[in-house]
Amino acid sequence: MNATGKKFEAVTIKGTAGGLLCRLLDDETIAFSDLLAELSDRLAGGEKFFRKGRFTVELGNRSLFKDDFDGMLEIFNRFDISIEAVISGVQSTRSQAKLAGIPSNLPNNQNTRPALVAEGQPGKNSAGGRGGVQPFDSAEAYFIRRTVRSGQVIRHHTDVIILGDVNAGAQVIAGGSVIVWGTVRGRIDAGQNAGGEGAVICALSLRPTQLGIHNVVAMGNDDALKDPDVGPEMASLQDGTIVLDSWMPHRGRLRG
Amino acid sequence: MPGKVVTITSGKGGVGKTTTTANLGTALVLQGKKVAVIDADIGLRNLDVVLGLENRIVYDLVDVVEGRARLRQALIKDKRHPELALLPAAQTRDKNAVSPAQMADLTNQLAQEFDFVLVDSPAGIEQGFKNAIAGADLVLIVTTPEVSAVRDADRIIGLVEAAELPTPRLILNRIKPAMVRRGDMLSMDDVKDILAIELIGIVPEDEQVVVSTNRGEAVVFDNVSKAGKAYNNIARRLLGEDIPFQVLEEPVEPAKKGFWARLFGV
Repeated sequence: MNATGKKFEAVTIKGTAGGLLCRLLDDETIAFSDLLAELSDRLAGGEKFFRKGRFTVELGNRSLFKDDFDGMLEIFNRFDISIEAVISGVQSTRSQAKLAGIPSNLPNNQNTRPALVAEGQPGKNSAGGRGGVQPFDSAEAYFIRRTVRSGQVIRHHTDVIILGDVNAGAQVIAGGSVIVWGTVRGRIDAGQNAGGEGAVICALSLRPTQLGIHNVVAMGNDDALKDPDVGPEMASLQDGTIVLDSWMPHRGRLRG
Repeated sequence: MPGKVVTITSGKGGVGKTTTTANLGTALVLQGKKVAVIDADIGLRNLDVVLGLENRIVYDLVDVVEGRARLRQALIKDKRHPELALLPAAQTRDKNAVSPAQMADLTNQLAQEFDFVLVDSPAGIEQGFKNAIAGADLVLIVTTPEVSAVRDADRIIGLVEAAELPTPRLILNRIKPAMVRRGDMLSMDDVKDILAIELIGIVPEDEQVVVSTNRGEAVVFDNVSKAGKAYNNIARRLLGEDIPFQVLEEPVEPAKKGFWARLFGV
């Protein structure tokens, strides 16, 4: 997803224990208004994923005036995103945050910790433990080593790999592809990022209630659910419809 | 060493939590253990009725928590089995009368004195459920082989895991072997496949349970009852014994051989 030619992305968004972390590069050669334009594009690109999210915003050593700061808040507001904290090395920026009623911190060296955004069990799994997630940046997949049960929601902004089942009543929402080494009985929405048309959903047994790829949603077929196991399958988007193929090693090309 | 706090829960109502608690409690007493059973279903108390102790309630769980009675005063000893004690629920209050911390404190106190503390959880995933699992060392999930009950059990397992308790164990209740054979009921394997947790008991459908429940007696005393035997087995598994699961297959009548078949010995 990242353009590899670029030295640094001016706007990076990644998952952390406390929610999502958005870093706006403090390179003074980039105008803040350009940063905001890119931020807006990025958020619009992953709107389904980011909407109503909780963000921590890292501003480095950039000094912000009130207009700049308000402009940034306005963009986050547009996506119903709440800002949990502002991290800045500059006093003037921190006082802007204070004026807006947002807690602010000095940057610390502590690496951002991995994220598990599983609704219904706030915070419990985030510190590693059962979730066993490794730190990732925006391009890395989220690896889950357990069954996702009814009522649990897994959200991740890139690919998701699950070693276990996704049971009926559970939901997985991913920016990229979803691979389940187990049975899918619940709902999976893959490819929710901009350019997510190429995402696929693979499972050893695919008997979902609903499957979504990008902006297309398909309902599970009752007859198919009663079928004896047809083996591993892969769902992908072809000409605007979700198509199931047998997921064989020589055909299992993963795009997206 | 303090006793073990075991919570019996299910998510869905009417799958047999209270019956299981009553019978498992009695079965553990038969195994020589000291057992306290707690009715955590405040406002909809039943466990006292199933145990036949309804008319002996003076104080209840909420009285203890709110300091109107000491724990000892509220505990009802079963005269038939002195090693079994019941802490009844309040009928005139609701689930919010008690907090998870208070429940954990209560089960902890009881565990000092009893080998097992069984907590009968209310249905649902709200405050009552949270209270019931607050002090648990082990959670047993009761489900029947119905899609809706299994779905709720799955939700509950997720919540128990999220509360960082050990993975719960499963009691599959009211299974009808004949229906399973016809493919009209989820089988043990179907349920295990979906829930993916370890089984601790399979209890067959048994009319005797209704009879016993209405009389306020445990079915575990009934030597003929299949359900009674199943509960006794669960109790022994809880104590660490390795007991194979009862074969639920009803004896299949040998196919009647026809005249010609008999004649030719086919």
